[in-house]
Amino acid sequence: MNQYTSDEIQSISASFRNIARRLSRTDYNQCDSNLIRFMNFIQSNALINDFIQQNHVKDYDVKAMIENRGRATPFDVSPIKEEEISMAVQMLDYAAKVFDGDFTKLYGTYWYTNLKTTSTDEMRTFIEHIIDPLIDYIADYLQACYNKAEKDEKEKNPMKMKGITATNATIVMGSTVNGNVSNQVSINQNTKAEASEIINSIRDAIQESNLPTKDDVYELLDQIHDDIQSDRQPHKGVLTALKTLCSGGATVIPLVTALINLLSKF
Amino acid sequence: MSKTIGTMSIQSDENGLITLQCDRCKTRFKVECSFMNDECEGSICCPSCGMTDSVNTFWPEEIIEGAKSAAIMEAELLIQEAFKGLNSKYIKFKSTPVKRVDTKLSYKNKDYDMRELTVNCCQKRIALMPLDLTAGYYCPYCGRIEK
Repeated sequence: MNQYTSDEIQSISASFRNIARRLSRTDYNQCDSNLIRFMNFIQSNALINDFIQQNHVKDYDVKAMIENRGRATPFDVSPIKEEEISMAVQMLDYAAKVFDGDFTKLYGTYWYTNLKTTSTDEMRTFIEHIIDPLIDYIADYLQACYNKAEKDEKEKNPMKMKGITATNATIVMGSTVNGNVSNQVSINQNTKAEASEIINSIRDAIQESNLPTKDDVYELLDQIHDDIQSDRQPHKGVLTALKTLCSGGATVIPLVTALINLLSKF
Repeated sequence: MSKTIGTMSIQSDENGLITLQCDRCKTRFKVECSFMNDECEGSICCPSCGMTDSVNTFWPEEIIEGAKSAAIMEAELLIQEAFKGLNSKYIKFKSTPVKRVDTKLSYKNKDYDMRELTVNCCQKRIALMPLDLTAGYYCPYCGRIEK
């Protein structure tokens, strides 16, 4: 089977659901063209056709089923998923080829389960029995394919840390004459650049994560960035708070640790 | 020729979400009230079955029933009005009083078991029943597979 990207499967799913909706909601006048459109789509799309072939476990004599059905007796649907899919596909394929898409002729158009309702109501009942379950099986399959493709893509392309390394930067603790220690520290430009780059990486990682504390993290990053640019030592409590808030993000924590290690040399 | 016979309002929950129900699969879910009022362009995707359809097909069943009752009452009133005074030697018209129903209805939120989340694609909030969350869902705003 061809490998599809998650985007391709999204597109297939959207197209399928659009065509399936037209069949599921069809009125009698358009039922033939909507069925033929649906069958053409599922048989020409390789991903969906693979699913149908995998679930083709039994051959049904549709002509015999139609002839042997009692008047107002619904078709007997198997409780086994693969058989249900096999039957639905073969019945609809038969209707598309023999009845030019008019699937109501499978049950004689007027009486499917009730002798006293309208042909539209009977058509709705047939759709609920046979067509809607098939649509739901295919939609669920596409959803599962999408989830798998997305998971595979994330494993192959993990979040890159953009090659940030924490080095032992040259930090000079400034002090004034007469024993006064100023709050000013001299941070060399390389360290500032590295710290800024780490902070930007953390921002990107946070944006793509599911952490509920994003706004708080952004605020702390802004504060740290301002401190560094102003040659002020970021407060230790701020760095601790940042680490705590990011503790739920597996891709963020290494970046935060690198930043703390870089700044801890003050 | 159309006539407005009543109004119905749906109240949002405390988080600003209102309940909708898919006509096809009967799943109930919630979307942002602000989206429905300001941004909705006429169609919504059911998060459970993934079918996109007109907003008019997503009203909860209690609202449909309320609207039906109001419409039936109005129809009976029209019929009664049409045959009023129609008494002749051969034809007499009798009718029972039309049962009145309130046509200005307000529906309060009653779906307290739904779990709220934010869809990644549209960055908007929805709420689903826990079973629907586990089974996987579609974004009701754009129709993308979310999970």
